[in-house]
Amino acid sequence: MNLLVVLFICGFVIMGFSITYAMGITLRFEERVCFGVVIGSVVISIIGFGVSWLMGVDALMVLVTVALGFAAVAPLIYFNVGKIKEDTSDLRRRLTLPWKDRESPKPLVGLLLVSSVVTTRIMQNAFGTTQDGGISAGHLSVYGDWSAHLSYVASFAYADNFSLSLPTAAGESFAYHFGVDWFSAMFVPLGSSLLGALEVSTAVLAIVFPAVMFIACEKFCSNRIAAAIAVVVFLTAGGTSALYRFFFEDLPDNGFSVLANLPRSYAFDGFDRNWVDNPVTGFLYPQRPTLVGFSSTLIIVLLLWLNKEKQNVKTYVFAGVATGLLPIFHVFAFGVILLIGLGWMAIERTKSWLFFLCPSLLLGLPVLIWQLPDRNGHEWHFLWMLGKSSWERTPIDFVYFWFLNTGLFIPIAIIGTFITMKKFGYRFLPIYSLLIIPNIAIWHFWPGNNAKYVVFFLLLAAPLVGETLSHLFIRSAIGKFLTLLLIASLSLSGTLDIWRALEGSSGPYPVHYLSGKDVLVGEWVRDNTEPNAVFASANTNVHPVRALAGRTVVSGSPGRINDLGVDWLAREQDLKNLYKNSGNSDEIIRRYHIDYIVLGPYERSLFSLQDSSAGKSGAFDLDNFGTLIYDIGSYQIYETQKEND
Amino acid sequence: MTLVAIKSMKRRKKMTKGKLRKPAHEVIQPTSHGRDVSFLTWRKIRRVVLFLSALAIISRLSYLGVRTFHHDESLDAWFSLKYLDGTYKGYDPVYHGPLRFYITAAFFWLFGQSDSIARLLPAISGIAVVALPWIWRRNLGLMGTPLTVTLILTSPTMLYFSRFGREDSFFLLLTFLTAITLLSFLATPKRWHPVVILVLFVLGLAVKESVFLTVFIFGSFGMVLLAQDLLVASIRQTKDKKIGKPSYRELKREVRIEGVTRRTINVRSRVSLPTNPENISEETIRRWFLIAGIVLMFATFLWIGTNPGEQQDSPTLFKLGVYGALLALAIFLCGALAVRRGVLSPQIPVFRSFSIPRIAGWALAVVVAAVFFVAIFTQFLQQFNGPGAATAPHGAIRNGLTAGFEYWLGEQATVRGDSRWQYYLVLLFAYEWLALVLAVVGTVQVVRKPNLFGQVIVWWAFSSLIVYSWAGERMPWLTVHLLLPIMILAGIGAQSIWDRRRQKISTVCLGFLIIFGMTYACVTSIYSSYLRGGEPQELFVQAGQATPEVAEWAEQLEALDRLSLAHFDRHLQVKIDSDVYWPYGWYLRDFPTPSYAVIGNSSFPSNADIVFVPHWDRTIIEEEYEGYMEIPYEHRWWWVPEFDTGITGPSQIVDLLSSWGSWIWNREPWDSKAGICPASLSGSVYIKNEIYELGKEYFQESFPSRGEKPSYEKSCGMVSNFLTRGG
Repeated sequence: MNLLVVLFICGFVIMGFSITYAMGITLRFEERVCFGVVIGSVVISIIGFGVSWLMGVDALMVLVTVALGFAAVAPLIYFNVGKIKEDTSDLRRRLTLPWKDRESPKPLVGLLLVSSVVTTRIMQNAFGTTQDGGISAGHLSVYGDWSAHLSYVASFAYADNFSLSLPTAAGESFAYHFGVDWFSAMFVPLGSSLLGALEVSTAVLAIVFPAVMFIACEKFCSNRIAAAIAVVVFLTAGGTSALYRFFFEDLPDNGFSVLANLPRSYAFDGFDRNWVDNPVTGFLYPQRPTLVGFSSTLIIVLLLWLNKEKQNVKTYVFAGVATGLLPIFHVFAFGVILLIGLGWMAIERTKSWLFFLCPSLLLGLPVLIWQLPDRNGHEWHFLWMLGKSSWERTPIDFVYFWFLNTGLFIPIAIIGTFITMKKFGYRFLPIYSLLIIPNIAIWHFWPGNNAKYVVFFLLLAAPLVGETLSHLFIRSAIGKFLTLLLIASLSLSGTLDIWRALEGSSGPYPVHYLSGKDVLVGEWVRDNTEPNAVFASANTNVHPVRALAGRTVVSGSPGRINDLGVDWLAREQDLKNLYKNSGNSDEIIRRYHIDYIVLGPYERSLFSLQDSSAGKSGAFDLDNFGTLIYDIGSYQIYETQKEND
Repeated sequence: MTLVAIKSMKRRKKMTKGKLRKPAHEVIQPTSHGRDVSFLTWRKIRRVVLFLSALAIISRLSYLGVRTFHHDESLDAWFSLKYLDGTYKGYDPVYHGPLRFYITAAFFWLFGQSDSIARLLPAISGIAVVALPWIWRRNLGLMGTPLTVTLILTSPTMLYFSRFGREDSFFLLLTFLTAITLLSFLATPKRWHPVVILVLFVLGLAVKESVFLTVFIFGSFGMVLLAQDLLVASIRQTKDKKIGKPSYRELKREVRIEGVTRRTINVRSRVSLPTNPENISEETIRRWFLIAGIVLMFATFLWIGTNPGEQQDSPTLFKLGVYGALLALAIFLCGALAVRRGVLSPQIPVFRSFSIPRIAGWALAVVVAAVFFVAIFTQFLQQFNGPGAATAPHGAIRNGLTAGFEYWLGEQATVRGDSRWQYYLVLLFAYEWLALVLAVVGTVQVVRKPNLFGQVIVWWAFSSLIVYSWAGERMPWLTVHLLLPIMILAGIGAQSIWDRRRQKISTVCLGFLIIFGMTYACVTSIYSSYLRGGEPQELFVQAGQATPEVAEWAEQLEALDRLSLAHFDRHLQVKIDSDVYWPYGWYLRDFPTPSYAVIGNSSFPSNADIVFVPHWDRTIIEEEYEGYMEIPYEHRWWWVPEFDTGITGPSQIVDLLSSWGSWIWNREPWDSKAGICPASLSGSVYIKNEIYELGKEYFQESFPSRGEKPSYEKSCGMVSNFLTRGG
């Protein structure tokens, strides 16, 4: 991480910090800083996107973006200098308080410290090098979802993808909440490598998330213990699998040395029995939009919560605008906040809620409509997971599923709702719809995506769990013991999974991700082809042309483009036809405007091209494709455009 | 209600009670020279120091990896990596203490392995060293404190070696902490002081053997101080009380440090009120003990000599023993006088300091320090065997206890680095003249009015200069150990000038000095640490400094290996001769094939794809490299100029000034007529033709990249092979 990157981060944090003074809510200095990280990243991304659209991606663009950002927040700073000074001196005063004091910032600082160490280490493990000069992936998050995110980030950083076309499916629009990937791309012109940009941007937002959650829960709950418990049980959620698998299988078999080489994920088993992954290793890191989505949801819900007495219009407008921008960053968060907002609006029935609703819908709906896929992937069903994988359609399996995947989280949350019903529990009732939706509908082509609703339930119900357990904790010695036992049962699976990612050498990881040949061809394509070129290449999980060069391809990984509503099957067939019958490829090349055709190990393997047609250098007789422009190792790249236009 | 409102209400309440008190932030704090300084002023100074510390963070951490590794840096990083891999064999004094390997390994674990992270510990230490003078703010004063911090912040030497991956920056931090704790122990002893002091000693021992010099410096000062205290106390016992408590009209609390007790926190760096004639004797005693102690030390090291040959017949330890014996004799004589006069031990401040922690406190300190020692030297109880090296032949614990000292002592018989005793003085004049000038003022001030703080700093500065100039190993990175006390002394000097600011000339002089000196320091720092960091015309650059070509080749080798594997389906066989192996050992840590080789006559590694050899091996093997492309190569570079620029008489003094002037102005090195220009250890890289062609095909014009090299306008021209140049 170089100086420019650090200055950039400081810059947008200051912006975000300043913007918190426009919220119309009283916050402490450190709370403004934590919220400022999230708000600043959103603001800088939006400004930066506009500037890049005009002048491309380079260091000057970042400088102009930061300058514009500061110009935008300058009035806020100017008019709030007094408050900033007050907040600063208040922080100095509170720093001297003992950490047990409710006003002390020390617990938050401690949480940030722990979060920094864990996040930094996990991000440091994300990518490694292999003996052949290639890249290894440190955990499943990187191997899986980050393959797509790499393509998105690279498409902005290296391929000027400001027409917003989907880099993993030529000709399709970028119907995805790409905001956080664009945010990562902004680090590249500052000197970060592509992989480094992903790591740094993830780290910045992931480090601050537990702090944001603690701040929000502290205000939702009646005491700090409850807030701390809420943060712990959410971050380490993962069901009860570990109780059996770890204590009765892995630990007896291997002893405590198993901790240095945990053989499996305990919270997730690939949608067999465990469908709800740990929020950190299964959502926060891999599904990058959640980096903004989780924190934003908490911040906006907190704003609405704190505004329930004052009904301050300024706060509603702020929350509305922030919500309206969310579909760019995390469309699920947008839906969840609207759901809660509508619920609370129904409870209060005041006109001032319109100041929230109008901007959020006016800004958010157009983006949402633009993001809707052409293909209809909606499907109604009954009891989400039953009848799928190894779950039977029986009531026992229904109960067992939720126990296995969430432990006693839901019952404790329900108890929490009841014991706080008069005070605030009734306001949390809308979040139970996040448990109902996945059981009745599939809106995203693949039923596994419904876990994304459940994780939002876990996020918003965590304060209720914290409240319940803190009540139990302060009651008696037995209560303390029971609380610790319950926290352990809720946390063990997730803790083991986080430890596995932290430790860095457990299970199959680090695994081979891209070979040295891949890196060579990826870097060559990045440096020697036009940014808007379209490539035909294998639609494997990862491919250097899209992952390292950000070039648009005919088809990315089928599962991922299916998630976005793209007809992956037709594209796969087209690719097969292209590679198998090179003589009849003109029509496909024209349809997708293919400029280059890649023939490498992935293509040979995927399309079974290991036949006698290979020439002496391993090249196929593919003269119809055009001119051979790259022939190093087992990669050949043919330029097609001129011959086929 | 806001905090401010509450405060103002409380204030009003107090006023209405009729007790008009000054609010807390307006409480008068005594300062030097009889001037009262409000808390608000100190708050402003705190802000300045905070700002300067922020600048320290930026300057120390930014672009840390920009300079190519020095030989020693690569070894430090390499051993840290070995510890992380679990293959570190234990403490060997050749490579100094293991503590920094552990810490850097932890950084590698957390942040990953890179050049910047390998330099992170020195950088963090450097930041701490910038901020630490704040602790001595009461001694340094309003002007002295920020000026000391600024001097350290902008110092080219401090900056360069805070970004240099050796142990010196970390060791300097430990020494600074030791000095702070020791002074605090002598002035206001607390029961925990011995624990911290001994633990710091163990940590220092686990970083560098120079801790023996630290012990010598502060130990000898302790003896001098004890003798002073005994004499002062015994004379105070005389009937006529010629020496009593000095009377200072407005500075009662401050003056108490002058010898009666050191328990007050209002210790000042200097006392500048007119001295009471009755007290002249105490100042005189302290002044002359200080001067005599330093002169005696200087004489002792002159006697020992800097020439290794002179040490053969009269061992260093014996002569040092004589010095120690003389100090002990002084203590004995003063002690005898004190006993005769019936002085009680509580009347002697040093004795009081040692007695406050009690025996239990000292015992606890020893136990804690022992635990630290065993833990660190046994790799946290994991490895009780030593590395089995000739320099560390024993078990881990015994090596920690004895090997370091034995090795260090043995090294004094050799001359490593620069052989000239005036080496550090020249470096200090070249880069840190502002600090030197102010330090001279500070020295005069302390000698005039010797108090505890001033004496410690003067002793630390002068004895460091003497001891390091004497010690057999003179390296540029050791300059920081002399420089830090000099800079603190400079802070004292600046404050004393500031205290005389009513004299216009003093103010003008100080202002001019600071503006001019700081500008020079900043420009020099930026040049030497960022823009042209690691280039041989800088006097910081020692012969182990690799050229940028090394980093370029390391990158190209990685890329060529990928190409080779992709195209020929095999890894590159790279062979690097042992004479030019470091810092490749670090850079190629992940390279798939071993690259270390001993290449000499008739041992050209014929199966190698790429071979790196120094100049002398090239001449041996030049007939054996058919099928290879030869690329000229420069591995390391340096400049060891003649400080007199080669002049032969006083008539050429203008030439000397002109040469130094050119160097100061644009770092133009001079050729002292003996061919001593910046020179390099040159050699050749042999690349198999097929690999070379492959590299050309992939990288095109940019291959091979050889990095940027400096060129000079005057007679030195370009950096070239030292064997042909005579450098």
